[in-house]
Amino acid sequence: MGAEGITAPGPDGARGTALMEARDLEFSYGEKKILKKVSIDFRAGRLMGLLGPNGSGKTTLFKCCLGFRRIESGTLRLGGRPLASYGPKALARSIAYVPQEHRPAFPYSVREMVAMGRTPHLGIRPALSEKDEAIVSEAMGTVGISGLAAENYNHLSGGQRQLTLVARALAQGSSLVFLDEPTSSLDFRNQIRVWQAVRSLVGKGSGAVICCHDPNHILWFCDDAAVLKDGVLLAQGEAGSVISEGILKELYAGEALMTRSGSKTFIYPRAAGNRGEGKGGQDGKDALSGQEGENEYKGKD
Amino acid sequence: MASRHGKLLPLAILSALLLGMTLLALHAGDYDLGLGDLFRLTKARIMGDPVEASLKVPSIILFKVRFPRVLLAIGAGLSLGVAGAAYQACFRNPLVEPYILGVSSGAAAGAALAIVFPRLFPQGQLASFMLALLAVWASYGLATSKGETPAVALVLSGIIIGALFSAFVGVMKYLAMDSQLREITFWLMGGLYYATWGDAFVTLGAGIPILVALSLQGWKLNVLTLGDEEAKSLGLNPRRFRLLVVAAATLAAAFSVSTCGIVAWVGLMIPHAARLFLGPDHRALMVGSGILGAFYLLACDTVARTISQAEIPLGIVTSVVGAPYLVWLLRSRGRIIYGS
Repeated sequence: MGAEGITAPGPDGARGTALMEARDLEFSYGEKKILKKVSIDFRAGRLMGLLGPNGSGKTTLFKCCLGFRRIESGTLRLGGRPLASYGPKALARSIAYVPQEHRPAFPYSVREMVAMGRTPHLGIRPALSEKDEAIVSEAMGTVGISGLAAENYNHLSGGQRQLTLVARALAQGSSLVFLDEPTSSLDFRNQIRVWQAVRSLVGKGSGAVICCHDPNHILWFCDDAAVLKDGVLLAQGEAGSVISEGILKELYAGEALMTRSGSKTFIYPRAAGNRGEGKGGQDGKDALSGQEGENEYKGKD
Repeated sequence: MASRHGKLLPLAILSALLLGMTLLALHAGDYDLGLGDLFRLTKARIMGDPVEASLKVPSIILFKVRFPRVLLAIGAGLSLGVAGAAYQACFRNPLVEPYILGVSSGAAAGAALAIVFPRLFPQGQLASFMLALLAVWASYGLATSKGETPAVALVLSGIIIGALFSAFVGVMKYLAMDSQLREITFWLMGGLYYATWGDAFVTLGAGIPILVALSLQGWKLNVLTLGDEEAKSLGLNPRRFRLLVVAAATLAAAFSVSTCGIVAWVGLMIPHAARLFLGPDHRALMVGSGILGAFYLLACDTVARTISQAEIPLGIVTSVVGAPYLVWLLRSRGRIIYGS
């Protein structure tokens, strides 16, 4: 830490209203501290990319913010009220969750999946009103999956399933959406389509937080970025200023380099172009040992 | 919802099948009752008219034997079908059956206890029912720690509790006299031999309200099958909801098992079959599973009591018909059922 270019962690009041504010968040699994004094703001109309190695505590941070896990200390406020004071239904009206795509046990249709996003808005007798139906149709249209409505969700490609889940979050109409590595198992084209769908979600005024392993994607698609390592928030702020040489060095031990082409910034591995030489330099060894340490860590995440 | 109206036709067809099967079951037996007599007798009964002398025997057979038995088959099949579909939704697994948490082994233990010690437990059905509920309660308690009840822990504790109660049935068999041993064995294979109007009313009276309640909760059941975290992010309290659903389904299954013994396969395969007709939406699936379960159990029981001179235990018929059906289902329609 303390490397050049790292923005000081802390709230930044300049952009959008804060939907959710975390202050000095702490969480442990047993003896192992996963989150250490994390303070972060999630804002309306902004897409924040959350970058961090495996086991850095991203998933745990998500689970705390979504109310799946109870925080140990610190405060977590949603719309000015403590998160714990929300009932499940009220919470779901404010926060939506886009998990990594997976196959449910039963073969629902795409439209049925998207319609489930309306759950927190339904009354005692759950039935979709015409307004609900219209919202579901609009969400599918926005994401570009209207043509798949009657398809079996389980028979779709991974990319189409992920888009369906984004549409479900859109139909849920929540002001803040958490997306857990939605592009990690997708091919390049589908990754771009999911990013576009997420952008359209933010375009409607929602705030969104997305876990992501590719710093390039954060630079290209996100407004803001936050970097987590070993449970410590290293930086947060505008994506362009957070993703810097300094932070890359901190995260990837000098294995990643930055270059600029026109108005776009690219991050690429130092090893790019080396094929089959079979021996890594000193940096390579460092990175490898770092990787092992993280894998061990991951087991408890 | 358009897709919901699309499910009215298959539900109507299933209901018509059940109605036809009911008439057939009332008609068929050692003493054949013609449809004309059937209607005349039923009408006379409802209107309170006197019965002609020539119809005295048919009247006794119809109202003392056949009607209670047919209604019990409908009630038990309906309960098992609904319980199976509900359990499968709760465990997010289409291979789960309603006996997975020990309801059948508990009921068996209660029945065996009452058969071996009739003076201590004069109410066999009640003992069976109470131990069935006790077994599931024990499974749930064993699987719960720190307020969480993970599905895997539930399955394991269900196996443990099931084994415990089965061991207890073993002890009872060891202690039993020959005639009692025979009775226990028959109970374990299931059957509707002793059906009374009371049994029919109890199973239908429990089964139908539970079916209605669970199908009204069908939307939430759909959400629950996505997994606890997703369900929670969609506004559901998965733990509390699962507990309620398991309690309702267990109640239905316990009423059925304690009156009919262990009728295998119905709770496992009927939800599969219903999913073929209706798709996975639990709002329609619960109703479909109930109707189809009633149809299946009634058909099997009619076969069991008419195919030969001596009656075949019901559990054997449901298994003999059910096992090949499931094999066929897995081979030919597995993709639809599992969606993989």
